Amino acid sequence: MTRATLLTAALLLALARTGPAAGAGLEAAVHDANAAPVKDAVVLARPVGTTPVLQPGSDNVDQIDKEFVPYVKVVMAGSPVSFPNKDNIRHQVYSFSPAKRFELPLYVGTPATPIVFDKPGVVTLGCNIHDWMAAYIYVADTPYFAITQADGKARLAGLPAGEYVLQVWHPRMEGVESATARRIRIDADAKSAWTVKLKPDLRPRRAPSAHGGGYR
Amino acid sequence: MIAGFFRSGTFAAVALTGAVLAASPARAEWIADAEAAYVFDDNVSRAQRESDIRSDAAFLLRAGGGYYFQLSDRTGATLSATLMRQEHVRYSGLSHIGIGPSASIRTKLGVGPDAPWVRLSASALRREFDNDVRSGWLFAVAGAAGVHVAERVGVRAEVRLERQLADRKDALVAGISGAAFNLDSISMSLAADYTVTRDTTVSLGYGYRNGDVVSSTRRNRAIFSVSKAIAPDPVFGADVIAYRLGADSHIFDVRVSHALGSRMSINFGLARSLSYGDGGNNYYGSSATASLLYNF
Repeated sequence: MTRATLLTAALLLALARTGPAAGAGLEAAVHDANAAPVKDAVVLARPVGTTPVLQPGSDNVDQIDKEFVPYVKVVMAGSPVSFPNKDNIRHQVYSFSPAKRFELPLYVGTPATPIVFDKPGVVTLGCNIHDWMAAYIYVADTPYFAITQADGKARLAGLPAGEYVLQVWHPRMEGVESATARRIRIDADAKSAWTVKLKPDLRPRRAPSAHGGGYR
Repeated sequence: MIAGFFRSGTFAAVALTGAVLAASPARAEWIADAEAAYVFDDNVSRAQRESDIRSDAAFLLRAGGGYYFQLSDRTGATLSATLMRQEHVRYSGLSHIGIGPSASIRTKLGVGPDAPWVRLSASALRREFDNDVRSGWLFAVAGAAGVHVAERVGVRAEVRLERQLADRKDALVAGISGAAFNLDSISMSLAADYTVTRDTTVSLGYGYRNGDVVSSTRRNRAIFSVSKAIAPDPVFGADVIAYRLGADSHIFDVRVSHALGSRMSINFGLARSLSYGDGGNNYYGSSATASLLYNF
């Protein structure tokens, strides 16, 4: 191969890595009404005028020390999700959400067959033995999403240039997800911020009570 | 002394407790918890006359351990043992150590945190008091149920039968039983729990108790005439007599519980008890409790 050919190939490779096909990034920030950062908010970008190609992939929601890990998970519609029980006791996992209803009877280890989440929407998970255990699976109809961390920030990467509708969802958010929608054109790295009002966290607590009670 | 230990119920309690802890069954979850509490009672003598009313405070340390068995998606059973020491500040004769087993089974009538639940339990506690007039067994069986009625509100109810059997029955008067510390009772209680925040709950409770009570006073003809049994009660003084009589009691309580992390809570309670004894021998009392609970 001549030197010219090699140089041309290198130039084309560099363009492929840095050109429009690499996509832009969106830095999202979510705060509550008191300006505190909101963790575990799902930020989505849905392209306008095109139907994005989804690439469902296998994923897990673990049970560790009698808690679901993670608390919020986002998967693309059509993804199979396993529920490995990493405790040395049995758990039972259920959901009554319209997006996916299922019950995994008492088990240890990992069930042989994962659950396929084929319908976009929010799936609320629980364990019928340990009432404080709760988690959420957001089944997305777009491949562009991220979850905010403790600083309230999330980064969506690889967004092709174009128009998008951005939305935010959080398990305790007041109001509907569509109320957070905003339209934005992304040609280069961008930023967007939301303020959401959160409902009080009224999940059952794990700590003991003086009157006894709890699962045992 | 050793022969006495084996003869006493204490040996039975320790043996039962040991059997529970040694069972080590498969598919069971090892559970353990601990409690430290301070209790103040302004009428530990359960007396009617001002001159006989005695107040006292006590410190409690309790540890429990055992096994939890998840029998099905909705039902679980617990087999456990308790060891406790209650140390009174003023009346050391009321201080005691207790040990004994307990068993319970709980089932949810549905799936989810809002599903109603039902629990049956039974326990036996061998108590050795520093003054042994009260030493003996405390047996209890109870049935309880609860349900969430609103997003922040849960209600629960319990029916409880108790029997206390004391080793000693020191008769004071010929023809009158000396089993003053043998008590039978049935209690019914209702409580509502309000979730202020995920970590903090306020509870209001009402209880009704019908059964035997012990009123420890100096000679009291009014109580004597309706007593089922009488015996000396040297815990409160050489001239104090324990009278067992029947009574209806109404107990009102308010409690606050706050989680300190996922395994511990601090709890405060105030209770007011109104007891209407046979023959108009009524007594009243208030108590305050502060406790730390920890689940291992």
